[in-house]
Amino acid sequence: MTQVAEQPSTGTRPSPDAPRGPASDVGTPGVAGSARRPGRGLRVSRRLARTVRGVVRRNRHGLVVTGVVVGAWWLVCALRLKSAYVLPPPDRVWEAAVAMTTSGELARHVVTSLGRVGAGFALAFALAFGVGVLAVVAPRVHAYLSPALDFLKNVPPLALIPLLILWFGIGETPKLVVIVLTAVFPMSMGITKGLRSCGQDLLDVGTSLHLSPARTFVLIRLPHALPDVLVGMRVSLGYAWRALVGAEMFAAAAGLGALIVDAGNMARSDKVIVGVIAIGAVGLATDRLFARLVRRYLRWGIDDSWR
Amino acid sequence: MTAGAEISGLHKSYRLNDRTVPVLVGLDLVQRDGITVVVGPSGCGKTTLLRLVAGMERADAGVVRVRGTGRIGMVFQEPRLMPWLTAAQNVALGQRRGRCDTTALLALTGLAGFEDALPHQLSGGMQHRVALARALANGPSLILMDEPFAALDEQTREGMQDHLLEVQRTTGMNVLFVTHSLDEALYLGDRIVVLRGGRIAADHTVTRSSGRRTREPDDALARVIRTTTQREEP
Repeated sequence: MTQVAEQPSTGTRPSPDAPRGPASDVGTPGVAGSARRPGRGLRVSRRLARTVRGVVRRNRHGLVVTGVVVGAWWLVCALRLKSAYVLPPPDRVWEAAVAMTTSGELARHVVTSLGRVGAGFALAFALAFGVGVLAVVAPRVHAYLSPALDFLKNVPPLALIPLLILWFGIGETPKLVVIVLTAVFPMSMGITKGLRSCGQDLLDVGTSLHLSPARTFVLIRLPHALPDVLVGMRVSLGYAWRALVGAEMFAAAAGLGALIVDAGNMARSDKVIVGVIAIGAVGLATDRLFARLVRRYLRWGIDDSWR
Repeated sequence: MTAGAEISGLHKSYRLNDRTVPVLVGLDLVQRDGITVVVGPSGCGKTTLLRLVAGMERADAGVVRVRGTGRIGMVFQEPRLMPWLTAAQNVALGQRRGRCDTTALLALTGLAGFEDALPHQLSGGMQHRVALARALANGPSLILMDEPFAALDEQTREGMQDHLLEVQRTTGMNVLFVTHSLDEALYLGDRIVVLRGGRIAADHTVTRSSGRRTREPDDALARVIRTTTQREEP
């Protein structure tokens, strides 16, 4: 502003229609600014470019590693160290990915898997929360259940698949059970630890305010446990995605796990790699989204580890 | 009838390993208006007394009655604020919506304009003020204070003591204040009660000749109280 005020006034203001060469910009910043104002399309594309630059800058370390891995992969294929049947080159995987995306095949599998992971995750949360509440509300009952839960925690859910098929058939139920069994334990540990770790000093505040046990739980114990609950949920979300292929290995018509199994049966390594990358990418996206929501809405107990 | 606690024949003991350790043995105390300070060394049962009055623990025997509305507010040694709540939300914790004027309470405790601050954004003294405002939120007839300023530096502690006196004058509330500091007891107390051996060993009403509180200790009274408290030392 000061600079503009200090400009020697010429007494005349250039007409908007007047031709604007570089010389006309000098000394009339306001007019020059409006003359340079880009169109809406250009502004949007500049903003997009800025966003992309920001994403690249934030993830530059990861992108370097990705570049190195893809480069090594390409080199192995170019030098024919592995046959294209065993390890298809990056460009063939890219072509397969483009074909699967444009035909809608990939989206169909992603949506099916997201639905299964979402349902399994929600069910696992309900169970884990119940176990956590039991641990603080009825510790004796929890003590009876605890050995059985610890036993189940150490049994790989994939080992149960033959039994699950016998018990529940080949529909959605056994797939959900595998995801639930994989996701429930880290979440249950986080929730139980969080709810138990609320100190007597804070609970005494509830007593001094004459809060009922239920209100003390909702107003003090639960919010205090939230950071631990969320860590458990985040770990479990990753576990749920990791269980997906196992869950969709048997009699699934759709889903990223089914895609990988079918592609493997048809010796389409390129489609297998597309499926693997899709699982990793969707899992990464849900993890980042979860962390972002937590950082945005939780004002306490969140540190740099929540990236 | 004045508000405050009425305690008679209070007994409380704790199990420590296989032994029973008596803490309060037949304590009687009828509180009068103003600030009653219970003074005594660490471990003499001061905090136990407050926890029993607040209903946080059950007495082995004896009766505790709170005259007036029966509502009690408590301020602990540490502010014990919920770190996920703002100052105003901490004050309103557990109160029915609209029943508690958090802005007025925070203004009363000298924190106008800090309604939206989170506890970690406030200094130690300010956190204690929020804790005091929270204790006042349900309109108590009795405030219990358990060495609330013990962890503060001297300057902040003196500021908080003056502030408590001002709030007490404004609200007319009765306070049962526990401390191990004789200076604090002499400055704040309208009545000083010495706790020794699980019961009241001495009971002094403080008369201030000038009518004003002073940080210069009343030497005669201090000497008497010091003698009483020292007798319990092994």
